[in-house]
Amino acid sequence: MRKSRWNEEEIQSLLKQMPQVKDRRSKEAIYRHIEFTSTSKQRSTRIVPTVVSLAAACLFVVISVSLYSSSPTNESSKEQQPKMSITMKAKESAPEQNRTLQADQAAAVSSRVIMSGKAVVFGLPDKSAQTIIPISFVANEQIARDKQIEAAKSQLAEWGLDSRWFDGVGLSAAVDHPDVWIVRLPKTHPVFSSGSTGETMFLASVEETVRWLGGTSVQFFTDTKKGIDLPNTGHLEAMTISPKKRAYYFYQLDHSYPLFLAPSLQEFATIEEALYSMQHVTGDLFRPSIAKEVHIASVQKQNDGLVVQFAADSSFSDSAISQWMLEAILLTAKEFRFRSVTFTGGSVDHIGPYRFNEKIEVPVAPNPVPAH
Amino acid sequence: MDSIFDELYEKYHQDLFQFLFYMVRNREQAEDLVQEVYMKVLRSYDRFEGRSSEKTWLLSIAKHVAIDFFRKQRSWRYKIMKTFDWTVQPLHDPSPLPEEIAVQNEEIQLMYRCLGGCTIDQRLVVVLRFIQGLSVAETAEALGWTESKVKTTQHRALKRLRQQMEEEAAKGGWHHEKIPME
Repeated sequence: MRKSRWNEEEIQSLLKQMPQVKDRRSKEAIYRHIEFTSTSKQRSTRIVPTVVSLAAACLFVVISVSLYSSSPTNESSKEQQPKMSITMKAKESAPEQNRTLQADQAAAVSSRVIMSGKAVVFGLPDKSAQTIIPISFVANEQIARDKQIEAAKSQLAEWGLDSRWFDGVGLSAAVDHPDVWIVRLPKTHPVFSSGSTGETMFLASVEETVRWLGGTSVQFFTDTKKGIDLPNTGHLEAMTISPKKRAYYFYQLDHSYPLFLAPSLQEFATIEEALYSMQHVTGDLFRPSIAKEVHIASVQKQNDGLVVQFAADSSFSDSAISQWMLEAILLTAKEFRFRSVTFTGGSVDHIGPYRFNEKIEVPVAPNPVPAH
Repeated sequence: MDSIFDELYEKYHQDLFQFLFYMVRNREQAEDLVQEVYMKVLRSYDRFEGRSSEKTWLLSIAKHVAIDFFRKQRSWRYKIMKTFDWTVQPLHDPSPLPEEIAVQNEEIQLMYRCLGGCTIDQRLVVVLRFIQGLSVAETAEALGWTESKVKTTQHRALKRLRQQMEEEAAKGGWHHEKIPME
């Protein structure tokens, strides 16, 4: 009887027969991940997160501490403003809600911003886990909030956005320090087994969410124990949230998904540089939010207002794209702490709901989810 | 796109990915780690002195990234073990086989599982020498070892693999009995 099934040569031969295993991602996708991770790591030396739960129960906690506030630079009441937002909601008769965002060019253009009232913003990773898209929920006093949230969750999945990071996570403001947000994760949270990319996306989601809440720091808990242990990132207890100055681009996974306004991965020193990048951004993650047929003649700062003058030869032929361009500029102005933007020139008196030569207050939040 | 990344990707990406894949035996982790390798390489490319080949230099960085991964994983496991009373541990790796392995014959699948039973040093040598096809000298260069250390570790690794294969086969992990030659 043979004592052993394999001798050393056979073992070597078997090893040589091990199959080739190839990375299925494209070169471009890998490069984007590297860029994104590098940028995230530079942003904060030791990011530590927070979480928000899209789960209804947790959201009740969030809401109870008036999560339904507005954004970081938020200010005075805007009740008197014309309500021009939230048209992102699906047309009542449309059988497929996820078509509404791209099918709206013909009629009234769906706004990609909330211009007034109150909203809560979540930073959610896109489907390819390469960037964070801020998504906002409008407060609707007439409808139970848990129903709004549950409806929004399924909508988010249809839109290719990943909301699982917020499942089961509690987010609340610290009792004595409203700028400090407490994030509580269950031990079973998926981030603990998500790999370093998953951890990065999770932390970036938390960072974006808390920034929109106006938080300046986050304290992190695993159930009742302070801190979180991420296998790749390490032990994290607190994170500082710094303000940012970013540009807003167009982001669209593909033509079957809606177009969102997405903040740039990098920051800009001046509004002029940000606007320039909005017209010249390259790569296949973002698209320019300012079309090449549009020419910005000048950008002037007037106290906390910004005046953007378009050259007379600018073309605004596509009404949806032109409206979203203005909204991207408004959001970018908000990043630079401007409170209003006045659009002038361009040989037009308005684009969509935005009248030229009038001060337009910066939006409350980007990318609203239907609140019904 | 960075031109250095572009060039390195074209020349070495699949080698790097495959090396990391067989080291950590998990596609998603290998994807994460190969990105980490590029980040380290791009930060230090201007310090590459050409004393070793570009490929072995990249593999040496990949080795450090892999070892770092195992170190973090160990400390994480240690923390979990301290927190919970894990009296029963699974004997077999419960994770499903990657597609590329699952379509192979049972002997290859068994070998894949047994790779997990090698020490990290043993796995480094086995993957570089037999799966990546590096010579003893190239392996020594990539790992920063002497050639004799490569040979010794290789010998122990093969012995360990053989032993593991026998044990697994005896447990029923190997269903096709070879017919002994008379």
